[in-house]
Amino acid sequence: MKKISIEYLLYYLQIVFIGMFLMILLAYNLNLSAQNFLSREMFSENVKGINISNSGSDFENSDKLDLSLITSDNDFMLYKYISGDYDEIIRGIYGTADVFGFSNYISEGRFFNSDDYKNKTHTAVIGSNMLSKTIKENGKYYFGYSQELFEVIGIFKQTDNNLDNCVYLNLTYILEKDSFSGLYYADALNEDTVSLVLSAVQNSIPQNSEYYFVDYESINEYGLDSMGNTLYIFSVLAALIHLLLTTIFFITRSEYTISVEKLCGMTKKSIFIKYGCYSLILICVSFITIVLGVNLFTNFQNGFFPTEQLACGHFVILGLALLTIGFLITLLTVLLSQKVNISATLKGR
Amino acid sequence: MRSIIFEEIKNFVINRTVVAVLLIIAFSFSFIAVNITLTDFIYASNEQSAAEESYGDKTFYKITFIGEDEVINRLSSDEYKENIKNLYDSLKTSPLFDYNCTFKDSMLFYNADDTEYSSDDFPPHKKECLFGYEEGDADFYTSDDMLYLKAVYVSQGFEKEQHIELSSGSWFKTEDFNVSSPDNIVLPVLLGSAYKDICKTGDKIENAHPAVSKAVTLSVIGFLKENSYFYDNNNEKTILNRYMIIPNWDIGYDYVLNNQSYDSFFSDTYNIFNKIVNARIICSNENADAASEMFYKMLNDNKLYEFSLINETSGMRQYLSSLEGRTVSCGIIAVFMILLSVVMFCFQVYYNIRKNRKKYGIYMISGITFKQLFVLMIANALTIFILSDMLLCILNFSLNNGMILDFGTNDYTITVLFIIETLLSLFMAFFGLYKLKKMNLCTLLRENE
Repeated sequence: MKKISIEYLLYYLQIVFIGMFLMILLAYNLNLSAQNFLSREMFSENVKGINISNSGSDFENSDKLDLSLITSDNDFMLYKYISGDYDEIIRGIYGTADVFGFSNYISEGRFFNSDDYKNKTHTAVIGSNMLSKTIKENGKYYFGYSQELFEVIGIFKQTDNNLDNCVYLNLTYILEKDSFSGLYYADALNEDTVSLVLSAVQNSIPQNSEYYFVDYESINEYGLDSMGNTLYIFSVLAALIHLLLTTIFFITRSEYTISVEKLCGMTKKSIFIKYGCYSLILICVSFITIVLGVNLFTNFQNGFFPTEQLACGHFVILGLALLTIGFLITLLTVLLSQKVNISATLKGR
Repeated sequence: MRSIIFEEIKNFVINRTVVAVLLIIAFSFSFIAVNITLTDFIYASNEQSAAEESYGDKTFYKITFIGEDEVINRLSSDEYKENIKNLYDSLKTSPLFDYNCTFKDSMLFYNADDTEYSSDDFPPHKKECLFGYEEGDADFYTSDDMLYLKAVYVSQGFEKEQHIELSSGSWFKTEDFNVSSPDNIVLPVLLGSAYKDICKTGDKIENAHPAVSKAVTLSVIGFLKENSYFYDNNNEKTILNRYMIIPNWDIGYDYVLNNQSYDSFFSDTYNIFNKIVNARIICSNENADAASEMFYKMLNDNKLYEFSLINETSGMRQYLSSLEGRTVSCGIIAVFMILLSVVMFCFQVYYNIRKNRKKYGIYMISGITFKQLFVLMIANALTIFILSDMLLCILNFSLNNGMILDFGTNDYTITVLFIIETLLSLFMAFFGLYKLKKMNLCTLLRENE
């Protein structure tokens, strides 16, 4: 069996590591994974917000926001932001219908219906992780907010997502008690409905109020910190430079062989094809190793390598990057081969 | 010998510029990766040690609140004061857990009644004791008529902290945590070691405002031993040398005025940030669930639903686990970088010998010893490393801004760099000698084989 040159082993190791580092950089910095309703923090892609502030006294509440004045031809949902971080999302909720199928996620009880909104009931629907933050009285659960107890009428099933840490309170009741100022989000199945709803909200607020429109900002952090990015960027660059050095040393070691090949009539094109084939085999073997490595990483280092964020797009980009590297290495090999002086090499000078 | 070394370096830099430049850049970039791994490792170790030291085998909960400014304003109003006090009293006396409301804040010194109060009237202090000094914010808080000093407000039992010791004076007594009259309030204060040469036990410090609008007098009762420290409510190690330590007092007098409003000192004392928010509930792991249930029951009894409990220890465990994963991953990268550097530098030595076989053969015929060849190769290696160090300095000053790129410089960067360069130089030199020894003189002189 032909002995594998040490340079090819080096190439293989270097390409595998470049590929792994690139995957991590891509996974953290390029969001290509398909986002569903839950991973978008229970919002659709159409969600838009409006931030309303009352320029009057903070404690006067004579002006109310009347949700019955907000109408649209299509169904919509309206939310009021109360609290939002990774451990706890609390929102007031109102909807002309259960537009996004929250009822499908209920494990106990029910979701809000039109009667709850019409009668302004004192009710809440909570995620599975929020039960420990409720108070149990007479066999019922209550969620406390702003000196009031909201009866829990439904509990979502466990989804291992943001839904588990959320609490929805009946917005029609909240607006009876609280100031209308705050951050509201409108969501619907199409963008036009969202725009119409926000316009209706804008027209409903008292004249002395100030407002501005906002886009939704995710609470889920995505990406590496600057030190992490620096680590992987410089590792990739260092490994690429090592690849170049390996090529130079490889040509130096193979000068005699290359001189003999050129003397025997090997053209630039045939050298390109020969080393191109070797590169392609290396790239393919490296790519397979990277895919296996990613799966290995998932099983033993879950939590650091964001495999849940990996999409087909990342692998495609990686494949293209590796092919580019292979092409450039082949090109460099051919260029360096051209510089080999046949007579000097064979004469030993 | 010197001329040979000079010639060798010149030959390396001028005739093999591309290889030299690539090696220098590769080593610099590899070292940046290794350094970041080292920084990660140091950080993870420190966090792990801090967590073990501060949490031990207990469960820590932290109290937070739900909402924004509107909620703060509501909870700070007099309407909620009795509820806040009742909740605080219940939390303090619970048999199921310990309630710890020790926090860092500023101590203000000013006199609202005296327009001529100025910096000449400030109490004795040092610049490093100013609030915000380490963060570079001290100047922001500096003014002509108001002084901000670092302070820690402590709960009872603070003396039981593991790394707190007095160098002189005495600890707070139980009665020091109770203000029994709203007039001429005197609070005892322990000072950090930085105050030792400017204050003494028994000194009185006037016009102090410990998060209250009413002026109090501080009475120095002792000094802490140098480098005494504790873990604050954000689990940050706080060395107390530059701090004033005062008791987080309660009100023991009738605070309801004739017009049924509250005395201002009482209102300021039972501010949610002084008594509730950021306080910690500490219990055994077995009682963790029961403690959480009791807390929410207390909230229900006082109708203070704005507050919430965060499990600090559970959060810290998850954080440490992710740090560990990250450190291991960085370690794999660092090992790879080091191995690759070793291989590449050995290749470079072999490449150098191969390209200059005849020259080395002539050196050996001329009588050069292996010791001298060793020195020659060390000189070659040092050239690469000196130029790499210069490149690292340039990269560090020009690109290391902590925002886009962060090179993770730590206390051991230069030492580790020196060790790696020394080891690599020795390795390269020994490898080169080994290769030269393996080749016979005829092979060296006949370059075409």
